[in-house]
Amino acid sequence: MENNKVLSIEDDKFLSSLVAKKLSAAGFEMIHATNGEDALDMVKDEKPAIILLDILLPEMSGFEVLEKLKADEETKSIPVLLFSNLGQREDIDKGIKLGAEKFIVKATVVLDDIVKEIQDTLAKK
Amino acid sequence: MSRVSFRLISDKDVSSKDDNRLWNLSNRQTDFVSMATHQIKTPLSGIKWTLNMLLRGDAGPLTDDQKEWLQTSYESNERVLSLIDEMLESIRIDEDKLILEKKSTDLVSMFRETLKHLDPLIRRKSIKLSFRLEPEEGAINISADGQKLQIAFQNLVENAIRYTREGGNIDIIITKESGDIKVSIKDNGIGIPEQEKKDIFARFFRASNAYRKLEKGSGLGLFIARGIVEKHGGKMWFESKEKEGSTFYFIIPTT
Repeated sequence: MENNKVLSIEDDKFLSSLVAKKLSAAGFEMIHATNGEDALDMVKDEKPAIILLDILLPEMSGFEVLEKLKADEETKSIPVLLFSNLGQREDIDKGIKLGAEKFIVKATVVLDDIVKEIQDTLAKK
Repeated sequence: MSRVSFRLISDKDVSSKDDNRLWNLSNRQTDFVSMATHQIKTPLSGIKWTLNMLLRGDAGPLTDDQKEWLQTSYESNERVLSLIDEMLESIRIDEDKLILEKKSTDLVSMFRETLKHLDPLIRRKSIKLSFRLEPEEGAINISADGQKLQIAFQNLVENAIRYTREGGNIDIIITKESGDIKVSIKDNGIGIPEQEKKDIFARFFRASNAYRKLEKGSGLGLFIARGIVEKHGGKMWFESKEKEGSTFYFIIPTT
Protein backbone atom coordinates (compact mmCIF):
# COMPACT_ATOMS: atom_id res chain seq x y z
CA MET A 1 0.00 0.00 0.00
CA GLU A 2 1.16 3.48 -0.83
CA ASN A 3 2.64 5.46 2.03
CA ASN A 4 0.31 8.35 2.86
CA LYS A 5 1.71 9.15 6.26
CA VAL A 6 2.04 12.87 7.06
CA LEU A 7 4.23 14.06 9.92
CA SER A 8 3.07 17.42 11.22
CA ILE A 9 5.64 19.23 13.38
CA GLU A 10 3.74 21.97 15.19
CA ASP A 11 3.91 23.17 18.78
CA ASP A 12 0.57 24.98 18.84
CA LYS A 13 -2.18 22.61 20.01
CA PHE A 14 -5.03 24.50 18.35
CA LEU A 15 -3.36 24.53 14.93
CA SER A 16 -2.10 20.94 15.13
CA SER A 17 -5.55 19.62 16.05
CA LEU A 18 -7.11 21.39 13.06
CA VAL A 19 -4.42 20.12 10.68
CA ALA A 20 -4.85 16.57 12.02
CA LYS A 21 -8.63 16.72 11.67
CA LYS A 22 -8.55 18.07 8.11
CA LEU A 23 -5.81 15.79 6.81
CA SER A 24 -7.28 12.66 8.43
CA ALA A 25 -10.63 13.47 6.82
CA ALA A 26 -8.80 13.80 3.49
CA GLY A 27 -7.50 10.24 3.91
CA PHE A 28 -3.99 10.80 5.22
CA GLU A 29 -2.50 8.94 8.14
CA MET A 30 -1.41 11.60 10.63
CA ILE A 31 1.49 11.58 13.04
CA HIS A 32 2.48 14.56 15.10
CA ALA A 33 5.47 16.00 16.95
CA THR A 34 5.65 19.20 18.99
CA ASN A 35 9.44 19.70 18.89
CA GLY A 36 12.43 19.03 16.65
CA GLU A 37 14.10 16.29 18.72
CA ASP A 38 10.96 14.14 18.84
CA ALA A 39 10.29 14.85 15.19
CA LEU A 40 13.73 13.61 14.07
CA ASP A 41 13.28 10.36 16.04
CA MET A 42 9.80 9.94 14.63
CA VAL A 43 10.97 10.40 11.03
CA LYS A 44 13.37 7.44 11.42
CA ASP A 45 10.82 5.20 13.12
CA GLU A 46 7.72 6.07 11.13
CA LYS A 47 9.12 6.97 7.69
CA PRO A 48 6.46 9.53 6.71
CA ALA A 49 5.78 10.25 3.04
CA ILE A 50 5.85 13.99 3.65
CA ILE A 51 6.57 16.46 6.46
CA LEU A 52 4.70 19.63 7.36
CA LEU A 53 7.17 21.71 9.36
CA ASP A 54 6.60 24.80 11.50
CA ILE A 55 9.62 27.10 11.99
CA LEU A 56 9.32 28.67 15.43
CA LEU A 57 9.53 25.60 17.63
CA PRO A 58 10.85 25.17 21.17
CA GLU A 59 14.62 24.60 21.37
CA MET A 60 15.45 23.45 17.84
CA SER A 61 14.02 25.69 15.07
CA GLY A 62 12.27 24.31 12.00
CA PHE A 63 15.23 25.47 9.91
CA GLU A 64 17.59 23.32 12.02
CA VAL A 65 15.23 20.34 11.74
CA LEU A 66 15.16 20.81 7.96
CA GLU A 67 18.94 21.03 7.82
CA LYS A 68 19.34 17.77 9.77
CA LEU A 69 16.73 15.99 7.63
CA LYS A 70 18.48 17.01 4.43
CA ALA A 71 21.94 16.08 5.75
CA ASP A 72 20.86 12.51 6.52
CA GLU A 73 20.89 9.96 3.66
CA GLU A 74 18.00 8.11 5.25
CA THR A 75 15.68 11.12 5.40
CA LYS A 76 16.84 13.56 2.76
CA SER A 77 14.42 12.43 0.05
CA ILE A 78 11.32 13.04 2.18
CA PRO A 79 9.63 16.21 0.90
CA VAL A 80 9.25 18.97 3.49
CA LEU A 81 6.67 21.75 3.31
CA LEU A 82 7.54 24.65 5.59
CA PHE A 83 4.35 25.90 7.21
CA SER A 84 4.80 29.08 9.22
CA ASN A 85 3.55 32.60 9.73
CA LEU A 86 7.03 33.95 9.13
CA GLY A 87 6.85 35.07 5.55
CA GLN A 88 9.58 37.59 4.95
CA ARG A 89 11.55 37.10 1.77
CA GLU A 90 14.68 36.15 3.75
CA ASP A 91 12.78 33.40 5.63
CA ILE A 92 11.35 31.98 2.40
CA ASP A 93 14.73 32.09 0.63
CA LYS A 94 16.43 30.42 3.58
CA GLY A 95 13.82 27.62 3.69
CA ILE A 96 14.02 26.90 -0.02
CA LYS A 97 17.83 27.02 0.05
CA LEU A 98 17.84 24.45 2.86
CA GLY A 99 15.82 22.11 0.66
CA ALA A 100 12.13 22.67 1.46
CA GLU A 101 9.72 21.91 -1.38
CA LYS A 102 7.63 24.94 -0.58
CA PHE A 103 7.12 27.68 1.97
CA ILE A 104 3.48 28.16 2.92
CA VAL A 105 2.38 31.11 5.06
CA LYS A 106 -0.31 29.88 7.46
CA ALA A 107 -2.47 32.97 7.58
CA THR A 108 -2.69 33.25 3.79
CA VAL A 109 -4.19 29.79 3.19
CA VAL A 110 -7.06 27.58 4.33
CA LEU A 111 -6.55 23.90 5.09
CA ASP A 112 -8.02 22.79 1.75
CA ASP A 113 -4.98 24.43 0.18
CA ILE A 114 -2.70 22.30 2.38
CA VAL A 115 -4.49 19.11 1.38
CA LYS A 116 -3.92 20.09 -2.26
CA GLU A 117 -0.26 21.01 -1.71
CA ILE A 118 0.39 17.65 -0.04
CA GLN A 119 -1.41 15.75 -2.81
CA ASP A 120 0.48 17.68 -5.51
CA THR A 121 3.86 17.18 -3.81
CA LEU A 122 3.29 13.45 -3.35
CA ALA A 123 2.12 13.12 -6.97
CA LYS A 124 5.44 14.61 -8.14
CA LYS A 125 7.49 12.06 -6.22
CA MET B 1 -8.88 64.88 15.98
CA SER B 2 -9.42 61.41 14.61
CA ARG B 3 -5.96 60.12 15.22
CA VAL B 4 -4.78 57.32 17.42
CA SER B 5 -1.37 57.79 18.89
CA PHE B 6 0.92 55.00 17.78
CA ARG B 7 4.57 55.76 17.91
CA LEU B 8 7.56 53.58 18.41
CA ILE B 9 10.71 54.61 20.11
CA SER B 10 12.27 57.44 18.15
CA ASP B 11 15.49 59.35 18.70
CA LYS B 12 13.58 61.73 20.96
CA ASP B 13 13.22 58.92 23.48
CA VAL B 14 16.92 58.28 23.59
CA SER B 15 18.96 60.69 25.62
CA SER B 16 22.34 59.52 24.36
CA LYS B 17 23.42 60.44 20.87
CA ASP B 18 25.08 57.09 20.55
CA ASP B 19 23.95 55.97 17.08
CA ASN B 20 24.86 52.40 17.76
CA ARG B 21 22.70 52.27 20.82
CA LEU B 22 19.86 53.85 18.92
CA TRP B 23 20.21 51.34 16.12
CA ASN B 24 20.18 48.44 18.58
CA LEU B 25 17.16 49.82 20.32
CA SER B 26 15.22 50.30 17.13
CA ASN B 27 16.29 46.92 15.83
CA ARG B 28 15.07 45.26 18.97
CA GLN B 29 11.83 47.15 18.57
CA THR B 30 11.29 45.82 15.03
CA ASP B 31 12.16 42.32 16.20
CA PHE B 32 9.76 42.67 19.08
CA VAL B 33 6.94 43.80 16.81
CA SER B 34 7.72 41.07 14.24
CA MET B 35 7.63 38.51 17.01
CA ALA B 36 4.44 39.90 18.53
CA THR B 37 2.65 39.93 15.17
CA HIS B 38 3.76 36.36 14.59
CA GLN B 39 2.33 35.30 17.95
CA ILE B 40 -0.97 37.04 17.22
CA LYS B 41 -1.21 35.46 13.78
CA THR B 42 -1.01 31.91 15.16
CA PRO B 43 -4.46 31.84 16.84
CA LEU B 44 -5.92 34.03 14.08
CA SER B 45 -4.80 31.45 11.51
CA GLY B 46 -6.55 28.76 13.54
CA ILE B 47 -9.72 30.84 13.68
CA LYS B 48 -9.53 31.40 9.91
CA TRP B 49 -9.19 27.66 9.21
CA THR B 50 -11.98 26.76 11.64
CA LEU B 51 -14.43 29.27 10.19
CA ASN B 52 -13.55 28.16 6.67
CA MET B 53 -14.14 24.49 7.55
CA LEU B 54 -17.48 25.32 9.18
CA LEU B 55 -18.50 27.43 6.15
CA ARG B 56 -17.60 24.56 3.84
CA GLY B 57 -19.96 22.36 5.81
CA ASP B 58 -17.17 20.13 7.19
CA ALA B 59 -19.06 19.91 10.50
CA GLY B 60 -22.49 19.49 8.89
CA PRO B 61 -24.99 21.64 7.02
CA LEU B 62 -25.64 25.22 8.13
CA THR B 63 -28.73 27.42 8.18
CA ASP B 64 -28.61 30.65 6.17
CA ASP B 65 -28.23 32.69 9.38
CA GLN B 66 -25.35 30.53 10.58
CA LYS B 67 -23.66 30.88 7.21
CA GLU B 68 -24.06 34.64 7.21
CA TRP B 69 -22.71 35.05 10.76
CA LEU B 70 -19.76 32.78 10.07
CA GLN B 71 -19.02 34.61 6.82
CA THR B 72 -19.03 37.95 8.66
CA SER B 73 -16.71 36.51 11.32
CA TYR B 74 -14.41 35.16 8.62
CA GLU B 75 -14.23 38.56 6.92
CA SER B 76 -13.56 40.33 10.23
CA ASN B 77 -10.77 37.90 10.99
CA GLU B 78 -9.29 38.58 7.54
CA ARG B 79 -9.40 42.31 8.30
CA VAL B 80 -7.48 41.79 11.54
CA LEU B 81 -4.87 39.72 9.70
CA SER B 82 -4.36 42.37 7.03
CA LEU B 83 -4.30 45.11 9.66
CA ILE B 84 -1.46 43.28 11.40
CA ASP B 85 0.49 43.12 8.12
CA GLU B 86 -0.18 46.80 7.49
CA MET B 87 1.01 47.72 10.98
CA LEU B 88 4.21 45.77 10.52
CA GLU B 89 4.77 47.30 7.08
CA SER B 90 4.14 50.81 8.43
CA ILE B 91 6.68 50.24 11.21
CA ARG B 92 9.25 49.10 8.65
CA ILE B 93 8.58 52.26 6.66
CA ASP B 94 8.75 54.43 9.77
CA GLU B 95 12.09 52.93 10.74
CA ASP B 96 13.39 52.99 7.18
CA LYS B 97 13.71 49.21 7.18
CA LEU B 98 11.59 48.53 4.12
CA ILE B 99 13.58 46.29 1.79
CA LEU B 100 12.81 46.44 -1.93
CA GLU B 101 13.36 43.47 -4.20
CA LYS B 102 13.78 45.20 -7.51
CA LYS B 103 13.45 43.43 -10.82
CA SER B 104 12.18 44.31 -14.27
CA THR B 105 8.47 45.02 -13.82
CA ASP B 106 5.82 45.87 -16.40
CA LEU B 107 3.92 48.59 -14.56
CA VAL B 108 1.01 48.67 -16.97
CA SER B 109 0.10 45.00 -16.74
CA MET B 110 0.64 45.15 -12.97
CA PHE B 111 -1.83 48.08 -12.73
CA ARG B 112 -4.33 46.32 -14.98
CA GLU B 113 -4.11 43.17 -12.87
CA THR B 114 -4.79 45.21 -9.72
CA LEU B 115 -7.86 46.77 -11.35
CA LYS B 116 -9.11 43.32 -12.34
CA HIS B 117 -8.75 42.24 -8.73
CA LEU B 118 -10.74 45.32 -7.60
CA ASP B 119 -13.43 44.89 -10.26
CA PRO B 120 -16.05 43.36 -7.90
CA LEU B 121 -15.79 46.44 -5.64
CA ILE B 122 -16.01 48.78 -8.63
CA ARG B 123 -19.08 46.99 -9.96
CA ARG B 124 -20.77 46.87 -6.58
CA LYS B 125 -20.77 50.68 -6.51
CA SER B 126 -21.48 51.02 -10.25
CA ILE B 127 -18.39 53.22 -10.56
CA LYS B 128 -17.27 54.21 -14.06
CA LEU B 129 -13.52 53.65 -14.13
CA SER B 130 -11.25 54.67 -16.97
CA PHE B 131 -7.60 53.70 -17.34
CA ARG B 132 -5.38 55.13 -20.03
CA LEU B 133 -1.77 55.70 -20.96
CA GLU B 134 -0.43 58.92 -22.40
CA PRO B 135 0.83 59.52 -24.96
CA GLU B 136 0.37 55.91 -26.11
CA GLU B 137 -0.55 52.39 -25.02
CA GLY B 138 2.18 49.82 -24.40
CA ALA B 139 4.23 48.19 -21.70
CA ILE B 140 6.32 50.29 -19.30
CA ASN B 141 9.17 48.22 -17.95
CA ILE B 142 11.10 49.60 -15.01
CA SER B 143 13.28 48.13 -12.30
CA ALA B 144 11.04 48.08 -9.25
CA ASP B 145 9.57 45.96 -6.48
CA GLY B 146 6.37 45.11 -8.33
CA GLN B 147 4.66 43.50 -5.36
CA LYS B 148 5.16 46.57 -3.18
CA LEU B 149 4.23 49.06 -5.91
CA GLN B 150 1.09 47.05 -6.49
CA ILE B 151 0.19 47.55 -2.81
CA ALA B 152 0.74 51.32 -3.17
CA PHE B 153 -1.40 51.54 -6.32
CA GLN B 154 -4.09 49.29 -4.85
CA ASN B 155 -4.31 51.37 -1.65
CA LEU B 156 -4.88 54.54 -3.70
CA VAL B 157 -7.51 52.98 -5.97
CA GLU B 158 -9.27 51.35 -3.00
CA ASN B 159 -9.49 54.76 -1.33
CA ALA B 160 -10.90 56.26 -4.51
CA ILE B 161 -13.56 53.53 -4.64
CA ARG B 162 -14.29 53.79 -0.93
CA TYR B 163 -14.82 57.54 -0.94
CA THR B 164 -16.68 57.87 -4.24
CA ARG B 165 -20.46 57.68 -4.25
CA GLU B 166 -22.44 55.06 -6.19
CA GLY B 167 -22.23 55.69 -9.91
CA GLY B 168 -19.23 58.03 -9.50
CA ASN B 169 -16.15 58.31 -11.71
CA ILE B 170 -12.53 57.30 -11.27
CA ASP B 171 -10.00 58.24 -13.94
CA ILE B 172 -6.52 56.75 -13.90
CA ILE B 173 -3.87 58.18 -16.21
CA ILE B 174 -0.32 56.92 -16.61
CA THR B 175 2.06 59.38 -18.22
CA LYS B 176 5.70 59.11 -19.23
CA GLU B 177 7.28 62.39 -18.25
CA SER B 178 10.98 63.06 -18.90
CA GLY B 179 12.27 59.77 -17.55
CA ASP B 180 9.61 59.49 -14.85
CA ILE B 181 6.37 57.58 -14.76
CA LYS B 182 3.54 59.67 -13.39
CA VAL B 183 0.34 58.05 -12.18
CA SER B 184 -2.78 60.04 -11.35
CA ILE B 185 -5.94 58.64 -9.77
CA LYS B 186 -8.82 61.10 -9.87
CA ASP B 187 -12.19 60.57 -8.23
CA ASN B 188 -15.30 62.71 -7.80
CA GLY B 189 -15.94 61.48 -4.26
CA ILE B 190 -16.25 63.16 -0.87
CA GLY B 191 -12.86 64.92 -0.99
CA ILE B 192 -10.69 65.89 1.96
CA PRO B 193 -11.64 68.75 4.31
CA GLU B 194 -9.21 71.68 3.94
CA GLN B 195 -8.07 71.71 7.58
CA GLU B 196 -7.25 67.98 7.50
CA LYS B 197 -5.12 67.94 4.36
CA LYS B 198 -1.86 68.33 6.28
CA ASP B 199 -2.49 65.12 8.24
CA ILE B 200 -3.68 62.88 5.46
CA PHE B 201 -0.45 60.86 5.13
CA ALA B 202 -0.04 60.40 8.90
CA ARG B 203 -0.32 56.93 10.33
CA PHE B 204 -3.81 56.01 11.57
CA PHE B 205 -5.20 59.37 10.45
CA ARG B 206 -8.66 59.22 8.93
CA ALA B 207 -10.49 62.30 7.71
CA SER B 208 -13.61 63.22 9.69
CA ASN B 209 -15.88 62.89 6.66
CA ALA B 210 -14.48 59.39 6.04
CA TYR B 211 -15.46 58.45 9.58
CA ARG B 212 -18.95 59.90 9.12
CA LYS B 213 -19.48 57.68 6.09
CA LEU B 214 -18.69 54.66 8.28
CA GLU B 215 -16.37 53.36 5.59
CA LYS B 216 -13.96 50.68 6.68
CA GLY B 217 -10.31 51.64 6.58
CA SER B 218 -7.27 51.26 8.76
CA GLY B 219 -5.79 54.73 8.28
CA LEU B 220 -2.52 53.09 7.22
CA GLY B 221 -3.04 52.77 3.47
CA LEU B 222 -1.76 56.20 2.43
CA PHE B 223 1.17 56.11 4.83
CA ILE B 224 2.26 52.76 3.38
CA ALA B 225 1.62 53.80 -0.23
CA ARG B 226 3.73 56.94 0.14
CA GLY B 227 6.49 55.04 1.98
CA ILE B 228 6.73 52.50 -0.85
CA VAL B 229 6.81 55.18 -3.55
CA GLU B 230 9.46 57.23 -1.68
CA LYS B 231 11.59 54.10 -1.18
CA HIS B 232 11.60 53.82 -5.00
CA GLY B 233 12.97 57.38 -5.16
CA GLY B 234 9.58 58.79 -6.15
CA LYS B 235 7.08 61.09 -4.49
CA MET B 236 3.36 61.24 -3.80
CA TRP B 237 0.99 64.19 -3.40
CA PHE B 238 -2.66 65.08 -3.89
CA GLU B 239 -5.15 67.77 -4.77
CA SER B 240 -8.57 67.69 -3.19
CA LYS B 241 -11.70 69.71 -2.63
CA GLU B 242 -14.32 68.64 -0.14
CA LYS B 243 -17.51 67.32 -1.77
CA GLU B 244 -15.88 67.49 -5.23
CA GLY B 245 -13.23 64.80 -5.13
CA SER B 246 -9.52 64.06 -4.86
CA THR B 247 -6.67 63.33 -7.23
CA PHE B 248 -3.69 61.41 -5.90
CA TYR B 249 -0.47 61.50 -7.89
CA PHE B 250 2.77 59.61 -7.69
CA ILE B 251 5.96 59.63 -9.67
CA ILE B 252 8.42 56.77 -10.00
CA PRO B 253 11.80 57.48 -11.64
CA THR B 254 12.67 54.98 -14.36
CA THR B 255 16.40 55.07 -13.75
